[in-house]
Amino acid sequence: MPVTLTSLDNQEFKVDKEVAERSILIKNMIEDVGESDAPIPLPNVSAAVLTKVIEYCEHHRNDPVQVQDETDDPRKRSNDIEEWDMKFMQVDQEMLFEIILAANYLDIKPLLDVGCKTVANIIKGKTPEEIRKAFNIVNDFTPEEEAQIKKENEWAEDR
Amino acid sequence: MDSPELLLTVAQHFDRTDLDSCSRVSRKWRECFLPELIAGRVFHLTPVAQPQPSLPFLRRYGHNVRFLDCKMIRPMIHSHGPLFPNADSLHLGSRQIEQELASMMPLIRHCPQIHRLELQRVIVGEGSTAPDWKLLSSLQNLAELKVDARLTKTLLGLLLQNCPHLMVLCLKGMRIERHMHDKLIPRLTAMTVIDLIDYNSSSGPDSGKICREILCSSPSMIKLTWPTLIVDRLSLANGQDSPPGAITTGQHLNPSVGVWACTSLQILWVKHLEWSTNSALNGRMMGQLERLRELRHMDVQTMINGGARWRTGAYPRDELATDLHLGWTITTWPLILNYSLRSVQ
Repeated sequence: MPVTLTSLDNQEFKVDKEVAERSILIKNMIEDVGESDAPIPLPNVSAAVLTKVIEYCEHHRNDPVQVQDETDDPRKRSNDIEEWDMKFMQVDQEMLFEIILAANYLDIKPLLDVGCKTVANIIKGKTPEEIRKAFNIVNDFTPEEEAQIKKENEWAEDR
Repeated sequence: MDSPELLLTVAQHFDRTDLDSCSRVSRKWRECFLPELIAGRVFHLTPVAQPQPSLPFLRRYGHNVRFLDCKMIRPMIHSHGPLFPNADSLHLGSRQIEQELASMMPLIRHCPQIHRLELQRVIVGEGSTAPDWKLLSSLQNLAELKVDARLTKTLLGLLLQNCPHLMVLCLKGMRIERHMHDKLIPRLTAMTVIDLIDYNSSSGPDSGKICREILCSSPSMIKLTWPTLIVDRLSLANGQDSPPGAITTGQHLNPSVGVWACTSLQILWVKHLEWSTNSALNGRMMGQLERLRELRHMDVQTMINGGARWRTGAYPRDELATDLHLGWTITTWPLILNYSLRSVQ
């Protein structure tokens, strides 16, 4: 049975229920409302981003549902990304962040993970200055603050 | 990349180096990444001569500290409220200097949630009413305690009674009277891990006594359920002149007590396993080892007078099964997963 999703800019998307239910938020809304033809409003997601999210959910429609384990430390997991996901994430930075925020809002854990891993891989191994360049961030520390920061970070290091 | 929520989610995929770099990018990023950096690392408070975090820094970020290593308490710690309310692992003291436990109490008072406490070369005040010890025994969440201190049995008793979650206990350098109080025994036998042997300090004989007292002096030992036991020396070779620290039971061995009573033992780490030149004694030793049917892991550092039956090496279960020389191991301990013998003398 198809479900209709309405984006921030009032564009409607008809998708299979099982695809829409990759989003835990939508799954819960469907369960709460029951059988209904009424469109599901997604006021935090633009049409462009929703198109990408639906593309991801279509591709992963048969994946097993990821069970969240609070003891699962992401730092112990690999930052490897599957080939299809990697190509899917080859978008400009603005779209990448929009996808991550949408995944967070829609509660699509695997998409959120892939998005965060993509950002993490961009940052990994870079110096603070290189990170600023990569994300167009202004260094708002004074020289005195930078000296203080250097000391403070040393205290948090293993010796 | 302005959303703190997004930054925190990304932070979960970073190691220390990346967290460190990110925490130096901008003020906003620092607010997100520095707490993550602090929470994942051991936070050191070192001797006075070395640079220390400022009090404002500790007040602002101290609640992020999970692992704290304090070699020496600085005066500033004493006069302020809880600086590390969420710390769950605390290491106090240094190998170089003995310190009074009382001097460390302000810091312990600042970490009410600690699960794991290690006290190195501390001097504990005598008597169960010592205020410092009372505070220590009020740590309700304490699950793991390593003490390199001269505790009396009274102090130990107070601790065991007041810390219901205490399951891992390492009593290095502990002084104890000849006779353990019987009422401590059931509490000790409920532990998951007990390491009673001091490998490094000069208090080996005392540690040996603790082992003898706990393992061999009480009939309740027959009900031992420790899954893990770490011992310095297992031997039936001699009894009267046993070496310091040994838990040798020698001629006084009662097959139903001692290490051999731990029939539910799952992990056995032995520093020295000593066979006799007397084949009858060796037969008894073998018989006792064969009673440990629940054994999953056995690690022997040195086998003394080991026979041909024992081969050095580390063997996972699959290799034990295919190695004829070690066939005895797998039939003796049907649940064995790993067997390791470092050397034979």
